[in-house]
Amino acid sequence: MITLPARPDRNWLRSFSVAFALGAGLVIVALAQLLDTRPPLRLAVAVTLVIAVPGLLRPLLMYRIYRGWNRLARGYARIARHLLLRVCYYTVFALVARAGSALRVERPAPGTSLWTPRSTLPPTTYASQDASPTASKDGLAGVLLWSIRSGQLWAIFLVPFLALLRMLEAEAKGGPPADIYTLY
Amino acid sequence: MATYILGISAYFHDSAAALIRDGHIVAAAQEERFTRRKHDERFPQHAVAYCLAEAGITARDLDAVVFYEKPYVKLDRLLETYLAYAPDGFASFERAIPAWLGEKFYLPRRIRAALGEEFRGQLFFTDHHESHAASAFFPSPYEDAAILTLDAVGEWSTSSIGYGRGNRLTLTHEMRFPHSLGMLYSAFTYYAGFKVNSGEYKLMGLAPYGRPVYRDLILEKIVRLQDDGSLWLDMSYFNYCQGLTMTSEAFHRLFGGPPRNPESRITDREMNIAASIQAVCEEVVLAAGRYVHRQTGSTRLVMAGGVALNCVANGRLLREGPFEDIWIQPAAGDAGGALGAALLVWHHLMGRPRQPDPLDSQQGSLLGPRFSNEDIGLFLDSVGAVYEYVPAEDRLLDQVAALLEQEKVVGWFQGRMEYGPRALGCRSIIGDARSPRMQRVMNLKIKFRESFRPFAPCVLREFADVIFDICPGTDSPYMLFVAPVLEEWRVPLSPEDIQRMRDPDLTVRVSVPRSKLPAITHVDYSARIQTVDRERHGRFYRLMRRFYERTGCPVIVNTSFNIRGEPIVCTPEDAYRCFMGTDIDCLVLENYLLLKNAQPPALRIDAEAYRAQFALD
Repeated sequence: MITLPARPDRNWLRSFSVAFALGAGLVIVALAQLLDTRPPLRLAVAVTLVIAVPGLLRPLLMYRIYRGWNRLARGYARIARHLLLRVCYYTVFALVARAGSALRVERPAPGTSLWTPRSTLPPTTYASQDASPTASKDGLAGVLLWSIRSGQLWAIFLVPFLALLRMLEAEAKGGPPADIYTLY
Repeated sequence: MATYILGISAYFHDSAAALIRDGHIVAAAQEERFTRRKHDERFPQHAVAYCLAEAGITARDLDAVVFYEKPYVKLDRLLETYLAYAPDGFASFERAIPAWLGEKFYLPRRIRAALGEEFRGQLFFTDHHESHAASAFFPSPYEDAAILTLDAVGEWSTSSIGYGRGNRLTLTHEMRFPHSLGMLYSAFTYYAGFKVNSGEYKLMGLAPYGRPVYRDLILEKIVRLQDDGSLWLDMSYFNYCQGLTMTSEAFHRLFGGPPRNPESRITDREMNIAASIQAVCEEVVLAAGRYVHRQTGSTRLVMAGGVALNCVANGRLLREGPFEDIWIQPAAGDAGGALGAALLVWHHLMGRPRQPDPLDSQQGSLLGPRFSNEDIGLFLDSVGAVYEYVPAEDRLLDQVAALLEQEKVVGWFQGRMEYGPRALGCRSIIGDARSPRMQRVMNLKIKFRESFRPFAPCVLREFADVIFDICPGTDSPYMLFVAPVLEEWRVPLSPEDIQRMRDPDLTVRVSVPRSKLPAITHVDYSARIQTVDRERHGRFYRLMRRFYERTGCPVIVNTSFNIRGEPIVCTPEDAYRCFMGTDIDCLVLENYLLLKNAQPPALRIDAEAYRAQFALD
């Protein structure tokens, strides 16, 4: 959400000019507030106009700033995503892991078959993204609904992390990695 | 009014789309063929567009779209896996969660957006292994059959067994992640220096060079194999749950070193590793086959899932197992899940009856795009290619058969493109199987690939049991079974040959003729056969028949029309590019015949530049 398309069209650049100009104006006002001086409204308006007007009339002039912003935003997103995932993993997962996992890795008793009984899903579940008979949602509501329906209530704690991660956006990967069978 | 159901598999590997109309397969194709990116996992936009165009409909006419697995059940497995390893496993978690969020978080929305506002039908999600099972049973020629799916992993299931009858299938048992035959095979593929999820067939091709010296070690330390074919993996030897590699340090210590570097020289160790894991794989498949036979009492078996592409194991199951007949979905990997998902909705959800076709309903797996002579002519004229248009099929076949007899390598492009990983005579490079130089030429000058790998023979069905050790009348139209070449076709090894067979260079070993059909006979006298018949293969059958009439040989070499790392060609443009970038001697595009030495030099594509377009697989 904070990163923008790598190849913007003119309208994207125009929108960016306006948003960036307004942001710059707001920063000037905010700085004045912080320094306890009277907000230089004229300066703020002037800076906003100086950035926005040429950006609207000649959007390509903004391209360098746009790229610079994107580079910064990507760097920030990468670091923030990493930190967020770290916090999520070493708090939520590390804690919940103490209660165990459904993954069975321990050695079975000799002669034990690893075939476990299963049933064929009834067609009433086809509308759902999980195994329940009612249609599911996507996005955060989907995760919430699934965690309740599946009894994985702890996964509700993941929702804020997922929401923030969505804002930071996943980077597009160039296909599955070669050294591992991807599990997702 | 007809009912249209579109099946989709995507966001894992090998995305694909399949369209059925009133239960009849109209079209199916993998996305990689259109995007020219091998194993393309992105949403199959082009494949969907093709399927709709083939049926002459738009998204508005679709009654339902089905995704081939349940994303939230997969998420459940993913989270439970990290719970089992936390606080270890962060590196893998950091990769998996953003990817899942990017692709699956808004899946229904993404699918609807990709199909456009026109689509007003319902959206469904079926279980991964049920999609595989459906892709195996519903198109099969059987009224009832046992079902065996062998895969790496879907949601939780890694393998499943059950039975199908009429328009219903029932899965009764499953093996659950992380215990997986597919994962085990992929781990050894990685260890032998091949790419996971694409190099497994290379490992299978390498196996006959080695001795299964590690078989006992594998079964003692890594795998606990039960009589019923179920297996347990000691996860201390693997790293795929929590790491970014398939195998762990313990695995490397057990086999005496780190994994082979990709593209480095293949040593005896890799050959023995390949032979050992292949032996284990065959044992598992045989045991699982016997178990499902005991469970169901059926004498017919259908199979799907990535492991079902292991044609050596399939061949053993057919020869040594309890089944009279086996049918395997030609697109046995995830691409086939698209078809299975669509059929599942038709039969299970809509309750529609099923009428098995005695040949099968897969239509030879020729379900992709076709191009008319008019299209091809326009294209050839636009690039300035030199060609001969041969409207009479008889004359065309005579000319091509003569070229094959002269040991020319022919690019053969006709009819609808194949669905699944094998070229079955519509997008194939073909040659004379009797030629001692054919394997080498095809491997090094055309495919640009490791030369240890054998080529597959196409054999006229009526002669298959004369050359190969199979029962008379056996059908293998999808190249999914390996069978030995009969004794009378084999040639004895001279002392010099025996010496050459010990050469560390596999290109030397592979050049030793093993039979009167050296181009298609592997070092263990095996061959991955495709039977060719009049009903399924039309012009390709007639070509082989013509070749047989000229030479007395009912076999030709058939390999996919591509180079290493390149998806099989889809369009005449793809085919012409491949023709001009390699040493293929002649190209047949429907009724157009092109000779390499007649092409304008300016159109020649530099082989290096052509190869550089595709990442090595």
